[in-house]
Amino acid sequence: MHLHKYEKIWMTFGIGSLVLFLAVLGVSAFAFGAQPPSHMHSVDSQNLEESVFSAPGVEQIDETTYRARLVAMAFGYDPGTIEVPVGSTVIFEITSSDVVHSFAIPGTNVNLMVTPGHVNMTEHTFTEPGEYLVLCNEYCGTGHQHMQMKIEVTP
Amino acid sequence: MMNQSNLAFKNNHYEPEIGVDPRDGKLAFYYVVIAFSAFLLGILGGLLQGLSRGGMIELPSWLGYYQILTAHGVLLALVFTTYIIYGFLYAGMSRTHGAFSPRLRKTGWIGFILTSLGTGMATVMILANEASVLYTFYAPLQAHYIFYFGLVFFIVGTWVTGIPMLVHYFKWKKTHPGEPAPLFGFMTTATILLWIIAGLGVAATVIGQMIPWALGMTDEINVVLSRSLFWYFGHPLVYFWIMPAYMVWYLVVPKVIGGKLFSASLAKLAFVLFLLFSIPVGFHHQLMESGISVFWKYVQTILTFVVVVPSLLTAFSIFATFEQTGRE
Ligand SMILES: [Cu+2]
Ligand SMILES: [Cu+2]
Repeated sequence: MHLHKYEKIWMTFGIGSLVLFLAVLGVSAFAFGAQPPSHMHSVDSQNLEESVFSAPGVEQIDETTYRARLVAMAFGYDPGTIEVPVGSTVIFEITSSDVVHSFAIPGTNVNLMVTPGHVNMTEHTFTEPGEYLVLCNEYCGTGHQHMQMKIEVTP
Repeated sequence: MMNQSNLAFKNNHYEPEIGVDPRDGKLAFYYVVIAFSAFLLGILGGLLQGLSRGGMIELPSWLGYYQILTAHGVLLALVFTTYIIYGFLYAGMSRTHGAFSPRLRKTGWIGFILTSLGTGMATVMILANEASVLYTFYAPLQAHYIFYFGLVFFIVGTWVTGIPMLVHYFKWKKTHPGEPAPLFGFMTTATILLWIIAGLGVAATVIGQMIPWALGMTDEINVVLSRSLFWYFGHPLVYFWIMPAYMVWYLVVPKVIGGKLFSASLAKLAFVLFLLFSIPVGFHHQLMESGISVFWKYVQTILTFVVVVPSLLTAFSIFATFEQTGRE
């Protein structure tokens, strides 16, 4: 197959930038840990009472670290409000008791999908006090647009 | 003299001068009619959504926002696109490879009827508010089982109409040994193959998971698996839309501007690459999901971006065709 000289230049440049881009992405993901939430733990969504999600809420792990176990459901989260002091790092562990939801804190990097039968995880350090809104951004039924919760970050 | 007419034949080779047989044109016409009917209904849904979200109108109590959203998605993303593409491919195959044989044409009609039956079933269920699950199906939100059966008829019907187009192309190759086949047929074959391979994913989740569950035969559904199977289809779906558009760029644009295609072999290469790279790329719709490891997400991200290669080939080819024609 004959390739025109300009086409060779064009394709070399194009494929070269693609390789560079994917390499940057790979290095940031695997060497610097910039990875999307991909937790592999599963849970029986029909029997959450018998799992670690039997009493959802916040639990202190050490001085500045908290774990928030939350259950998403149509059309809200359990619990509907959580409270942590400013400067704390919160490890979110979230599952769903019914359909597919999401968990997103606008203005932060927190944004993940919540699928029934699986636990998804992410963490975030709250450096500013105030009230943070959490939204579901994945269609989950007729009341989807009302699905939200609050995180109070106290000074 | 003989020699000259032979030469003329050779030059025109990729575009034999034969029209669309009226009997084939009829089927293509019906595809296009349904396509635009779905389009009109679908954009009406979009308009209503915009007006209601903007607070300009209040939707009546019997009409749900997500119900219209589902109609909008299914009618525009699945029905309009598939019908217009099939009309285009079917008419184009008849135009470039000659009329279909009566048997192939009959198979084409059977597929059309199956697809349309499925479209009707799904549309009725959406309008009855029994299937407000959006066009991505969103299991474990559940629709009426008639909606799922409609989807199966829709997909299988398109496969049935796809077969006569593939057979028509290979028959042409058999009866014209040693001649390069019209590019339209090569591209149609790649597009139909891509559609069949992609459709396996959605057929698997609908037949294997959603129908038994909607009928009450199973009481649970593996959500992440159903999403992966859907997106195995849902991403190549966009290539299925792109490829006919590329066919217009590669084959129609040069004719419109009175030039000729820059390189037929590069055009073929682009379509083969589209077909190959369409297969395992759906995970990028599940990047924020648990249950799929970071490694596989990265592998599929790479495979997704590789589609840049056939797109760059196409971009070069289009501009080269313009430039070449401009200099003549
Ligand atoms: Cu939601
Ligand atoms: Cu995609």
